[in-house]
Formats: sequence, structure tokens, C-alpha cells
Amino acid sequence: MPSPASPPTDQEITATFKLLLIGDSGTGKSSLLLRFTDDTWLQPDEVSATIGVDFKVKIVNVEDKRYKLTIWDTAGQERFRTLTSSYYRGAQGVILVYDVSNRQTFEHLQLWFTELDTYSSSRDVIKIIVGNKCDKDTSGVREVSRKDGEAFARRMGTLFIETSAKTKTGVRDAFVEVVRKIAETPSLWQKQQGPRPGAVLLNGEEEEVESSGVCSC
Amino acid sequence: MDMITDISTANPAAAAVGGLTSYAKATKAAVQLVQPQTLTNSYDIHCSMCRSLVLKRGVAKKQPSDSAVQLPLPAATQDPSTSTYPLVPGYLWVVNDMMAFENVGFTKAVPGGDDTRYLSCADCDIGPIGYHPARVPKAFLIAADRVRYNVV
Repeated sequence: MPSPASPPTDQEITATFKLLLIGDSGTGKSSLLLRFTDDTWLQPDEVSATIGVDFKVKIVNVEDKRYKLTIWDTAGQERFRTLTSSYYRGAQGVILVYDVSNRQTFEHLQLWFTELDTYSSSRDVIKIIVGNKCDKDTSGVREVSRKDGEAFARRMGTLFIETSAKTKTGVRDAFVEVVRKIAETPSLWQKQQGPRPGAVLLNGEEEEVESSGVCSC
Repeated sequence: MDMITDISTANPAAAAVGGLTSYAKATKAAVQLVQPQTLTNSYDIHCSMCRSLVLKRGVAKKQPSDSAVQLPLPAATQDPSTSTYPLVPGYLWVVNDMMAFENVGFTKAVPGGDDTRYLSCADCDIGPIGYHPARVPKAFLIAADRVRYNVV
């Protein structure tokens, strides 16, 4: 069945990108990750997540090209600020999430930018600010206007979008925009060597993702 | 809502036409899920709930359940008594590289244990459909009976 979720499987992968989701607890990062799916057949409450998902490997089609993404979710870690440089290392795209109904999560973005600047391995890393839970607009609980979000993004030189993981508004666009931008920024990924950039060893030590032509297979 | 593409209930021959085939149906219909020469998966492997593509054909190898990497898989439902899946699958599919997957989710390492990570569907989050044992860093295993096959 042809759909965005099931592209022709024989097509070559153009590139592999590492994306991070960061932002305060409760902004809906995990929901965004779950909702970033082209064809969800299940309602979220039908799915019982007993153990939190840490990261996903996911194929996405952007402009007729196939990209393989590893998308990392900080859920559960950010409260303790134990994110390490290894989490940031090698990431080409960062999705900074705040909750439009919680002003503080928006103001904290500044701290997340500081952390990102400290640990990020490339100055060119693509950033998008995502104002999540924009479905809360109608119920009058919005604390951050779209204008404020846009202005901040402009000041930080990043992309901006409002999303709702609940209604799926903008969710796919947020990821696609980041992928598109990374694809347009060859310095971020063309130096990648080896067969599986983005891969990491899961037992602490990260794999060399910026190796100098040494095949790691 | 019928979420699972149930291809055939009675006619094993029909199980090989269109849609996705469960492990049980494939076995009953004597479909060769394992490529005899290479011991790799003969068909694309999909999530049994939302059809998300997990592994392309030919990329995973059959891994017998009695091997050193074997680990019981918890029930795939919250109530273990209603789980239709055995704790120990008949066999598993193994890949040595996490980037071999098309779509897959990794849980956080289970704390207090041996740091096993379980694998889930990247699109609908159903799982576990397999696991990654910390003590075997290069093994990523999918339970053969918890996924469906694009038998063509």
C-alpha cells in the first residue's frame, strides 16, 4: 500500500541523520516522537507504553529522497540535567520544545540553547523551536503567543513551528523541515564516513561517528 | 476497528496473497520465512499492528532460541494471561547493527537488571517485539512470532 509511511523499500537511503528532542519536562517531547508517524492507526491511549522509548530509528521521505533518522528523546533525563556531551555529539538537528500553555518552558529555552552551544559538535547544527500543545489555543490557556515564539526563533536564528501532538498539527512538518535543512547543509553530513553514521554503542561509549575514513564495519 | 490485516482465516493458500502474513499462518502454510541458503529473512518484516516496516528482507539472520543471547520476552499486553505470545519465541531474527532497521524504537535500558533494552514499533509503539541484550552489544533481536511478513 503506497503511503508516506511505506515508501518503496528498494530505494537507497540518501543519508542518516541524528536528531535530538530537548526541552523541559512535560512539554510533550515523547508525544511528538510518537506522533511523528505518517500513518498512525492507533489512538495513543490504546497503546500502553510500559517502558519509555529512548530513541527511534525511523525512515522518512523528504522530496523523493529517503533518509534514515535516529531520533533521541531526553524523557526522564532532563529533570536531573544529566545529559552528557555524548548525547549531543554528532547530532545534525535539534528540536527544542516548549509548551505554549506554560510560559516557563518557553523562558527555559534560553538555558537549553546554552547547553546546546556548550555540547554541540557543529555550529551548523539545524535548530527548530517547536511550540507544542497549540491545540490548547481554544481553551484560553495559552501563555505564549505565536508572535512571541516567532520573534524568539528569529532572534536565535532558528526555524519555528507550532505543533499539537494531540491533533498532529505540524508534527510531521517539524521533523521534515529539520531534515530538509540538514540536507541543504552539506557541511553537516557529507564528511560522514563509514556505513552507519548516527549509530552509537548503547553501553555507554559512543561510536566514532566522525571517523576519518576508517571503516567501522 | 480492525487494526490487524488478517489475510486469511481458513485458506492457507490465500495467506500468501497481499497484505501481511502472521508467523502462525506462515508456519501453517509452510511458507519459508527463512531463506535456506543464507538463513536470512525471506520477506520484509513489519509491525503486526500498524504495518510499519521494521526490517527489509535478507538483512536479518535466523537466531535459534536456545542460543546464548536468549532472554524471555515479557508479555506484549499489560495482562500477561491475555498475551498471545509465548515468553520464548520459536526463534529470533538478529542483526548486528542498529542501523540495519528501517523503523524501530529502543526503550531505555531496564534499570536494576542487566541493562537490556527492548525493541518496539517506531510508529505505534507496540512492543516488545524484541530486545537488545547489553551483554551482546552487536545483537539486536526480533521475535519471529511478534511480527508479520510481506509474503510475496
